[in-house]
Amino acid sequence: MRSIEVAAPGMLTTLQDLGRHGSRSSGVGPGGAVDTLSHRVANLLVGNPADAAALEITLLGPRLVFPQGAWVAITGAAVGAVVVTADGRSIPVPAWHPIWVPDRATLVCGPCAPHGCRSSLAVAGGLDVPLILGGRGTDLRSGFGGYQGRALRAGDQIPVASLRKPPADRDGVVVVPRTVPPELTPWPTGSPADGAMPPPIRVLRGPEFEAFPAASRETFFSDTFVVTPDSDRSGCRLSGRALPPPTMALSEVVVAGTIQIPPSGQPIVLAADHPVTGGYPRIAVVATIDLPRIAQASPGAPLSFVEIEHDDAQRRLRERERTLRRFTLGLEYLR
Amino acid sequence: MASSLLTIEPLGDACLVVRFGTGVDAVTSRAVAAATAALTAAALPGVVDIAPTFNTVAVVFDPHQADPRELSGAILADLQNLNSSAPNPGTLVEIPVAYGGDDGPDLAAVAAHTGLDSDEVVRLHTTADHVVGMIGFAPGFPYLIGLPAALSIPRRATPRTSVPAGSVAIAERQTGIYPRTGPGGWHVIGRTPRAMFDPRRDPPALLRAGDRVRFVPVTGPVRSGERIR
Repeated sequence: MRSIEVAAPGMLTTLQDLGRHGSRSSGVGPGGAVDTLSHRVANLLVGNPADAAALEITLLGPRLVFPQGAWVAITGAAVGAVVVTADGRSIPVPAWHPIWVPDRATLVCGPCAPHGCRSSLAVAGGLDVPLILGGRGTDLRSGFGGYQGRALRAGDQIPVASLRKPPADRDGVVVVPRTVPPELTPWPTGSPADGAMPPPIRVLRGPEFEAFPAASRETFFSDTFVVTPDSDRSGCRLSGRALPPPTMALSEVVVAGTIQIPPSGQPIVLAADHPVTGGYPRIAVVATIDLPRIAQASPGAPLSFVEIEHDDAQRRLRERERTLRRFTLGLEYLR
Repeated sequence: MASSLLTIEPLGDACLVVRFGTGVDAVTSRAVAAATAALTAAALPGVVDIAPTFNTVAVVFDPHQADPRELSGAILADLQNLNSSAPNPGTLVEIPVAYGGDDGPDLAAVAAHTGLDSDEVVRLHTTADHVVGMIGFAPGFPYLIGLPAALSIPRRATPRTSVPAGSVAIAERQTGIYPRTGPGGWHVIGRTPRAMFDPRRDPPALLRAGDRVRFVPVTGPVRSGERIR
């Protein structure tokens, strides 16, 4: 059994996959990686199935020791990763590429910068933890799944499922040139320039949209909101001009991307660890294609919303999936 | 259950919500439970999860795989076939509860609010037929409908910061059971040693929407960590 040793855990590093599905009727939400697109691409870069378990890094990355060499890929927010070899050389390695980390080397990840707040770190072979309720992800609130149902700590030994062929020079750090199209990143229109306003997040009207006062509906689409620091895996919390909500009689179903407006009038965009039901009016739901952008919205980031029609949302998602399929086939051809 | 009584509305681009009106009652719960069972058995392509609420069934799908228009048609077809079949009445589950004392710190307040004595509150709660309206809020948390009108009480003005796992609590016309220790705004009248949620169990939640529940009074106190599976 091979494993990776955690020398330092970073701020919040958890094992995640693409979520557990089929247990909503027991009150268990999907969980899994918040930025599923970066998770899928990281796995594909190292030859894993897209849904293999990988690490989700939040704001500050971990320091990991590899007793035996392994192929890894880091996607999502860049973390200024450096491989420190057994003989003490420090070699910076880029995100969005397959990297060979040689025997006894340490992978040192820094803060998520300059954009985004989450990174996916995939290891060839996948992280080997038991499947619970159809998922390998960590449910932090209920304390099950992933690595012992909790975030990583120093000293943890994460099992890796299987080996993939090392490069010819297995003692060196190898970076394999690969080009990930921007559409397959959380920044499809390129990295935002400092201070520039990113394109608005595309949303579909929520079930209670029409019940909101006209002023709330207008403000929702006209204003810019700012991500607050109390955002977490259960939701991205926003601050801005208040959007007075209507009252709601009952709790109703919610999904990732649902934008709830609590009595404070400050929007909450639900993310992977959301409860399965919610009692706040749902003004809108983020289109699946823009969920990775919400996942990467870090505290202080500005966000605005624009309506998209169902057909358009579906068409754009299909286009992205075609791009992802072409990319996957290309990787298989090059391997 | 005629299909004209139900509507299908989208929730974003990866979920369709089948709605059976707006009522919260045992008849609606049975319709929801029957539809949940039918749609689960149908295993429609691209559908990843089926989740009932008080009066809806959410059909969560992978938008990379399923087309919402086709899926909507398939759902209607499946539920039309349901017309002739008898609705599933759900399982009867007995839940032992130690009422009052440290296990039910709000029992006296409920008695004072309702003008009943504590024994009468317990008698009404344990003789009522409760039905699971939905599981939500937290894994394994059941919203039970059927609380007698005489026990109706608004939520606590200030939620408790920590309610022990197994706490049986009431608010408005509902009873809930907290599966894990955490904050809660309902009035805690008792506590059960039954584990409401266990991820190693299949299904992990003790109760399902549509199940009938009878509370059985037992003598406490319920000790933390004590579990009957």
